[in-house]
Amino acid sequence: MFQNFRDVLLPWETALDNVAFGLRAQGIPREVARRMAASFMDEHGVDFPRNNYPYQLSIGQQQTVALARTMVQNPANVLLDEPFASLDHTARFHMQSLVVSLIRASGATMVVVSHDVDECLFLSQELMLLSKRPARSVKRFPVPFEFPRKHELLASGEFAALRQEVIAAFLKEVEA
Amino acid sequence: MKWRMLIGPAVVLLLWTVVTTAGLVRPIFLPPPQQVFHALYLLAADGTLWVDSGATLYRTGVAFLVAAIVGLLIGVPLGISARLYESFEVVFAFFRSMPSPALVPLAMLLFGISNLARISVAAFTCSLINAIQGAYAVRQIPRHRVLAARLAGAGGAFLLTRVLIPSALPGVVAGWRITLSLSLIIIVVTEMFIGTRSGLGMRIYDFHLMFRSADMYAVILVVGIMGYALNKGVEVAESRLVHWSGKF
Repeated sequence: MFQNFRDVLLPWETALDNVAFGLRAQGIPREVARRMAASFMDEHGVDFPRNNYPYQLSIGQQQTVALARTMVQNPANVLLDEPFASLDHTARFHMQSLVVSLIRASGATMVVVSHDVDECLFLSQELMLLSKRPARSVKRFPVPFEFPRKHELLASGEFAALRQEVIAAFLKEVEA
Repeated sequence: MKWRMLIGPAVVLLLWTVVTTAGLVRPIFLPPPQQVFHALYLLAADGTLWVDSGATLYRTGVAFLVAAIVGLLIGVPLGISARLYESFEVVFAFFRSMPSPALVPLAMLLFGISNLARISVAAFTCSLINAIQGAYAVRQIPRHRVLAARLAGAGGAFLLTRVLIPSALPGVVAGWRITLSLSLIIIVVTEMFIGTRSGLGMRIYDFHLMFRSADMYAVILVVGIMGYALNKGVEVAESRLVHWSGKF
């Protein structure tokens, strides 16, 4: 999953066919892939029109399609590179919840690259702070909060304490 | 169709009628519309109009098709290899920018006074435009789209037909839109200068030499309608074939 998911989607395929693309690329016949994609979208509550083309969808919907295309392949590992950088706040929260539920449902291991501390803490079980170039691991923070998580977590005291710790380490690194 | 689209043509027709019937211009320069439409009717009735239109359309069509094929054959390799593109960029830009009528005498020298001479001039310039469009379209394929498709497991013929070709298609089709109009333009010009007994360009020039202004205007009108129809047709085809072109 790349930051510029709008390049990744195929503009000549509908939302459903974009999701099915992940399966067809693995050699699954078109009709079977479409049925699997549709049931995957049903299961995960994707409720916008599936026969729309990407340019007829909102940015958040486009990203949902891109994410579904990846997850429908049932990967063992998923790498998300700054996935929500271009979303507004509401869409970002929505996508974060969707990612967590998709990943938890599939049992995949997910690595997220992000510069947003809240996002990292909300999504992860462990946060690794990277240094300036050349990047190396500066510090690891276990993130103990129970799943399923809700965004109310962001307003809690434990969250604030951990966040403070991470930001302090971050400031130390950039000022070093 | 929106009815307002008819206002512009109606105004032009009205002005034309007023100016000519009031005697503001001599009929040799601008005959009144009824004379032009009558001339058009006679040309259509005795068949010359259809022969001329057919000849012009045929030449335009052949030039367009040849240019579309040659343009792809040249453009795709240029798009794939950045080195090749850089090596030949100047040459292509030079010949593409050259006004094609400059090549008419050369074409006559090489191919004689023939359809081949006319078509080759149009096809040459249009091939280069298609080649540059095609090369650009291939170079502009989003890198991340291909990378993500490969990561998803796509490769070989599937990657080519499902990702690469549709990605390049809008740019290639844009080239076809430009070159269809341009083919008609160049063909009509060459018909005036490379001797022939048919073709709308030749007919316009003939009527001009004979001071038959109403007939000349009638044929000009036909060329105009032909150009407009080709443009509209290609626009409709484009919006169907590559409906996603230019949208995000």
